Amino acid sequence: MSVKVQHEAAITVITVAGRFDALMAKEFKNCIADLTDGHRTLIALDMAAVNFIDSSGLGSLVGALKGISKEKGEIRIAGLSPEVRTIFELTRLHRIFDIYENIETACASFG
Amino acid sequence: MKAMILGAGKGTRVRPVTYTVPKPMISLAGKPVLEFIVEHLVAQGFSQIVINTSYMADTIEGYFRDGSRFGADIAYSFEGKLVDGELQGEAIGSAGGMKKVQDFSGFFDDTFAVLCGDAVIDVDLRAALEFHRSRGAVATIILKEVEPDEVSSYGIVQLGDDGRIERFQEKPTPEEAVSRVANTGIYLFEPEVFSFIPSGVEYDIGSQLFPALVAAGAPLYGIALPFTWLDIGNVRSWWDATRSVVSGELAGFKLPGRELRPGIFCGLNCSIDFDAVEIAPPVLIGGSVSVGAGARIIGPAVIGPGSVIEPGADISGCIIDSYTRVGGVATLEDKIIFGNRCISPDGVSIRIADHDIGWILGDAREQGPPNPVNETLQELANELRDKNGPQVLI
Repeated sequence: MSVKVQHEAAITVITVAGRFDALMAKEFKNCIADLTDGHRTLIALDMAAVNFIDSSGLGSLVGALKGISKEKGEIRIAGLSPEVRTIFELTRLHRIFDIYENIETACASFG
Repeated sequence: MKAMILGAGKGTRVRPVTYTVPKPMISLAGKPVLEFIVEHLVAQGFSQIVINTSYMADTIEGYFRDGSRFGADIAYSFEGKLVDGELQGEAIGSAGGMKKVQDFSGFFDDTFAVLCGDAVIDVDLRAALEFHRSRGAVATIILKEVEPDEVSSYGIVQLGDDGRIERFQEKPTPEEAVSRVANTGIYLFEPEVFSFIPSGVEYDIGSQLFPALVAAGAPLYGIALPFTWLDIGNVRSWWDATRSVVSGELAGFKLPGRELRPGIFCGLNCSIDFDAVEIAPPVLIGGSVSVGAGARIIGPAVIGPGSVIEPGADISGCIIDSYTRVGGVATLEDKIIFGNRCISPDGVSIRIADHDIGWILGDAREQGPPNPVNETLQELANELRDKNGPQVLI
């Protein structure tokens, strides 16, 4: 599995790894749907091991943000590689998402 | 007088830019570096010029042709061969390239200049020539002082009191460096130098010829002169050099186009409503560019001819190639968009097509299908803009 979920008290840590393309986007969307159904909407997304993201991956992230925001939850992202960071910047996602250096600081930011 | 420009290198340190153009043809404010060099040589009285070519030779030779357009006589020394209809380069080194020309025709019959094809310079070659002749040098290197942390990128020399070169270091660490005086890749030679260069083998000026001259006790001199030296050694230095040129820091260079607002130069046939966009100088916009309402361009920036900047796009500190379409939700900060790539000055490079983000960056001549992610992002941008007021970009 390229999408892993771990619960840490109120926060859910999702770890994605490898290519964040259409295949992983589908898995990620399902994962977010399960979490919102279960009312677990404080999410820290660890992307440190993602080496590639395309339009589908970006779309699933934006979709997740919309879905979680609707449930008054939050999603915070951690550990972008320079390439993925570049894509975030180009598409202005770096201004939409709260982005943290690593998953520890992302989790800690929930207080 | 005669000169040779070294234009045969592959420009590996400027990749990925040099996948699309040979290094001497990389442009600053729309003008190839090599054109700056040719013009300067002609202005200094060096109008008979041989350029050695190899990698993407056609691009260089097709642009300069016989040189008459530039007031020069130009010929090319091609290093390579035609195999199955394709030109294949064959490296013979910088000194090897000089030797090939001399063996071919005996072109160099008096004092001559040799310059690397990858730096814009305005050095006073006449002053260097006077020094060269007064010392009876067989070779003179034009030198320039660099910052201590830059020595590891250059050949560093130790000079004696009269300007004779006593020692050479190729790219030393700052701790090892015997000085901060760097080889700029600009040389004056006497034809006698060819007796130190072997024929038919790869031979380099900096790492082989000069040490051989020092070892033989030949009169090798160096002169440090103050001059502008915009070296395109890597992607960052290209970006820095472009910013410098667009900021008007290159003496004597007039930016192309008309200055429609202070520090904002535009080519002909542009579609820009200056009351509806935010453009902060220095910015150079090529001809036939459109900038949509609400777009923001913060200089130093270059927007290549034929580009389309869609409404809402946010660009700062960028070099954007010709015919680039920048989507309305794009944010480009300190980026080079060139050859279907987005390149950061620190070397991070992505191929736009690989990431299926043609709706953010593409070819202005191509009409791609609308992308749902783009629509979602636009929607989100509008929602947040309505919620937070127009000052919030997204």
